[in-house]
Amino acid sequence: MQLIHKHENSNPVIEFDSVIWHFVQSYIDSYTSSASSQDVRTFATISYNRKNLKAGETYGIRAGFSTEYDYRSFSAGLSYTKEWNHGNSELNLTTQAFFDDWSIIYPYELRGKVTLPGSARKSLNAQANFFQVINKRLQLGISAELIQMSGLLSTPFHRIYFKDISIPDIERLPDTRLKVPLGIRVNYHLRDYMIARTFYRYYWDDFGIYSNTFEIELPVKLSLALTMGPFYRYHRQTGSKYFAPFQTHLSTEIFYTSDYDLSAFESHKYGLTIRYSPLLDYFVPEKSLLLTGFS
Amino acid sequence: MELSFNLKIYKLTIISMRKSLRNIALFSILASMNSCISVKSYQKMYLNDYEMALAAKKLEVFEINFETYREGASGANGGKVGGGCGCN
Repeated sequence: MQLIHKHENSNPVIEFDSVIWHFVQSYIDSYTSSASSQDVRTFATISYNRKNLKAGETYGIRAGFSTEYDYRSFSAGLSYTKEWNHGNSELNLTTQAFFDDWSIIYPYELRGKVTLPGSARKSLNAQANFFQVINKRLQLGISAELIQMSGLLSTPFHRIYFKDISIPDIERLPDTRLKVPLGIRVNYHLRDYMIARTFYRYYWDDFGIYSNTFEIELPVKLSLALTMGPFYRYHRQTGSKYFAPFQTHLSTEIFYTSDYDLSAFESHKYGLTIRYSPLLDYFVPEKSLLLTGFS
Repeated sequence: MELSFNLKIYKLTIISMRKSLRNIALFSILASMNSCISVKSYQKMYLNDYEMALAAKKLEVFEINFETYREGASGANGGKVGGGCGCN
């Protein structure tokens, strides 16, 4: 379910977004893999932006929260945007801080036998975005981010089975992590009825993960109200230096994980976006549907 | 002897082709940036199209969120990059 409320004045603008997602885990046989077969994530953000029309500058502040069954997060941020060249060039600088807290739930058989030093996590994000209009049909956006995380960065419910001893432990990871994603997005209006949306991202972090991600979507306007867009996404990443599969880690290691999110893999995602947006029909609001497949 | 020489030439050709392709790609990007024109507001019919937005669409936010859970990498696409989710 998604509810979006907006109250807009010409200047300034106050925006409030509130979203509730209900996750249901799908499974391939009669057994779910964990107790978390479903969860509800609720999050909301409120932002205040003030634009100086003469200078082409916008200043903004924002605050938000997010909750899951075992996780709570509060965030606050500042942003600055400068437009020039008749709005054809734009630079946006954003900084955001997240203050998170886990409800630590250990694996059943390890309760009382393992501990973690704390349940808090803090993330500081700095982001620079540059947008440029190339011509009447082509524009691009370049994004660079720097994320410094600290606190509990492992997931407490993951078990690790060792090669040398039979007693398992929970996942252990360093308490700091630096992430650097760089992205470029290029959109081209190929024909009156067709657009090419492309995105590429290079990612590096000090856990030892490098990744390349490429996306392309070709929305086709079948009528004034109906758009269908086939898309493809390719993602490839190297594994973290702390990752090893089941019964491969040694108990003498300081950090270890067997979470395949942090392993080396490549994935292909493909699908179709269907968007119905009638121009003058106030009784039938905009509807969008995303159909995806993975391999 | 001749075979290994040919292989060496072949490898060098491939490397040089890759470099050329990279240079062509870089040149194209720079050339396109150099050819930027000042588009007036009334000429932005195509640029203001919903599908031309230089950010992830509202519909994609959910997808980006679960990709953050599923992959070690995240960010630079308008989604979450750290904090705000019970994941690595």
